[in-house]
Amino acid sequence: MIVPVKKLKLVVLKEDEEKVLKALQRVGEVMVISTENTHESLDASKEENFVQRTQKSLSVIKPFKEKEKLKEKFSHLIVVDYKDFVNPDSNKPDDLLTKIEDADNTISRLKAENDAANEFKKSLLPWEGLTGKLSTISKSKFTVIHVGFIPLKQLEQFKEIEKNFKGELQYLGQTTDSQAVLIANWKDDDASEMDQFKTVGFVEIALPNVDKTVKELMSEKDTLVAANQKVIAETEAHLKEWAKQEESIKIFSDEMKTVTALKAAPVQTTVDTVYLEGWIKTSRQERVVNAIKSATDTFDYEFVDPEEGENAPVALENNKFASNFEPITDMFAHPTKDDMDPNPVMSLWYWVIFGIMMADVGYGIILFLGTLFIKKVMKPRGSFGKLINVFFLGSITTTIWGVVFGSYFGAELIPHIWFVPQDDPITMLLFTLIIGVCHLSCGLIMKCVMQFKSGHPLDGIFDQISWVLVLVGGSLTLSQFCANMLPTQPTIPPIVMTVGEIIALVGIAIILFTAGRKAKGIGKVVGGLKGVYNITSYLSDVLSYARILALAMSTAIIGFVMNMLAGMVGGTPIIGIVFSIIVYVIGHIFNMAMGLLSAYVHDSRLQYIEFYGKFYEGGGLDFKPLTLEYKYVNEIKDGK
Amino acid sequence: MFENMSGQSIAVLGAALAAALAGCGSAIGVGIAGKSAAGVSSEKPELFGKLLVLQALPGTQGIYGFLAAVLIMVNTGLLGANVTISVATGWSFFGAGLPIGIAGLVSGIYQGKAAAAAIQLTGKSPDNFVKGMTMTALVETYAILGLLVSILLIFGIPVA
Repeated sequence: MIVPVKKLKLVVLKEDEEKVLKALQRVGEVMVISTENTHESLDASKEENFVQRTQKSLSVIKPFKEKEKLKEKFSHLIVVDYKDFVNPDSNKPDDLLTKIEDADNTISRLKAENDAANEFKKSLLPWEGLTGKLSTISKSKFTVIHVGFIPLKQLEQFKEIEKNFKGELQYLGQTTDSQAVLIANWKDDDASEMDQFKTVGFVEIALPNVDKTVKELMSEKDTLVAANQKVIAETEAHLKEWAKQEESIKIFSDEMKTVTALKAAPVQTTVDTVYLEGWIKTSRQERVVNAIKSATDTFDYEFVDPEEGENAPVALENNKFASNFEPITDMFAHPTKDDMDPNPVMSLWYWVIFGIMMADVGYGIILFLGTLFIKKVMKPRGSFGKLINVFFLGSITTTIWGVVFGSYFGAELIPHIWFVPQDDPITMLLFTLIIGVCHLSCGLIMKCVMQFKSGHPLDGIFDQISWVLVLVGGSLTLSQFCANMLPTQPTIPPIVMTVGEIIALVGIAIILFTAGRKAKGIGKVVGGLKGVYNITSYLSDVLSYARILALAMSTAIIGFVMNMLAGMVGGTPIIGIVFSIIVYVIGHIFNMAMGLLSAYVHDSRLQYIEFYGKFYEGGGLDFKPLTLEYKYVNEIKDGK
Repeated sequence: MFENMSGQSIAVLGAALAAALAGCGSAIGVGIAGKSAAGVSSEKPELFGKLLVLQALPGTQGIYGFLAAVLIMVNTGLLGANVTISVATGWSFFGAGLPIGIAGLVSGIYQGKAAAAAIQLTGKSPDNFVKGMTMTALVETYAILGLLVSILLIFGIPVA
């Protein structure tokens, strides 16, 4: 449910600023907001810089980490004392970060150098046959020397021209597509003959003008590459050593993140005082005051109610069950202060429908154990932790519906309690549509309650209750028609149908006469008819719940198919049995994963579009208090 | 050309179409989404898990088609049980396979396109991942309705 908030206005001495903010951050109940003339309380650029540097360094040392054992990977939690966490000593990590950054720079510089050297070597390869020093390839008084490439495709034509050539020509090595050539020519004939060579594709290049042979140049580069490799290996060994201190970097990163959040809190300052405003839950006033008292004796404060039209955050407080479903609503939209918190009601529907969609005892138990393991060992926090809790809770309904429908890993090991959906799809279809009628009616009633509370009871009756009457009355009217489709074909007492017809007609009458009440003149009639025409959208809303049947059956039948496939390959002894176990395990894991994804997505969809469409608007500001920010650290001991 | 076909072979055609068309739809859809996901992963490899979920969404049509195909096989005695299928019943099963086959083909492709867009959305703002997922899932409704009709038809066809 939505709990009221109050605005805290606080004045403290400037010298106490950091202490007070620290206390507020620790208690985690105040959402500090920016107002006119506020600025970031303290300069956080140093810490922000540290956050970025730690993240860079963590990604650098990641490949050099020693392989953790699977057990350690999951069970190793980082726990820090509060005192250590908020009083970080930045010198030691700074040193380590600098070392890691230097190492990273060195490695990338040397690697680039090696790449360039190898590239250079490759370009020299065709010229390996030149035995003389490269500086000797140059003009003399009577001769000119050219080096260059002929495309292999045009080599034949080149050789044609060569027949009339008076100078000297030497063929050297080849690259993939061209031939290296050295041409020594008489200076006088040079221009015209070179033109001829160029017409068949000769491209002149310049070799480095150094006092060394090609071989010498190449071995020089080899030495350089080898030396660089050695340095890289040494540096990587250092990185491996430093990677052992990964945890301290992680902790430092979180410490800096927390300090950044603290220092970025918006405040106003005078010469000697600091003023800040923030929202708190009304029930936490005393806690907050005590927290401030623990930091300073000199302060003044005031709690005020939000003003009309002020964009106050909407704080939620739900019980242990419903609070886990809050992120699902927040993904759609956070409630506004005029909304009713939909979580308490939505969570129950979500929970039940999730179970029907999965509906298998085997999957339920695996999901239960899996999420329990994650909860106990990895201790997830935040919205991911809540998602795990949703699955954890969902595993219970999955198991219950599995018992009801008699599904145990896709096989009916224990006889069903109610019916088996895949043997009796019509019953299942009707059951899901009835769930739809109830779910939609529930949404309409929620809207009606909101309208009663906000002083528009007639709107509630005309727009919401009328449709509940139509939905319920219509279902009762159709009950015999539906019952005839059931395998048992039960007879419904005719009175039920008569009552249903009356209820539905009353509902339609209300809509017909009231839906156009806000329009004028002829619009009143048109509005009424338009209102009744809305029945088509309700029809499609109800039919949308048939997806529960489709998903429940696809989980059940694919499980059944996997059992069948496993049974088919299990015929031959030993090898067959091994294969059959593999098929069985992989098949069921696959089915469960797909079922889980579908149930999560389609259950959310039913809440967002069908259910929330009836009463919920959302779009409010989330209540996000200033707290300790940590991502890598798993737990901070309060150390009080 | 149909004179010599037995009821069972016509039913097989229905099962084949259900699995093949819906499978094609999913393959195309997952492929479209995969191209987009690969592009985003090149810049933001840390989003891989989320992108994979979005890429997998158009994959359900193939499963639905497979499901309908297996149901047809079970009900027409292709997997063991001994039943004789008349030509008329065979055509009924053929028809029963079509809704998920065709709806799966088309919705798979379009869901793939929606998934590709949702992947781009996630790449730009990872917080909106679930919104993208919901938008993509809306397309699947019509494959689910197709599957529903196929299932109801398959179970509704009387087999001697």
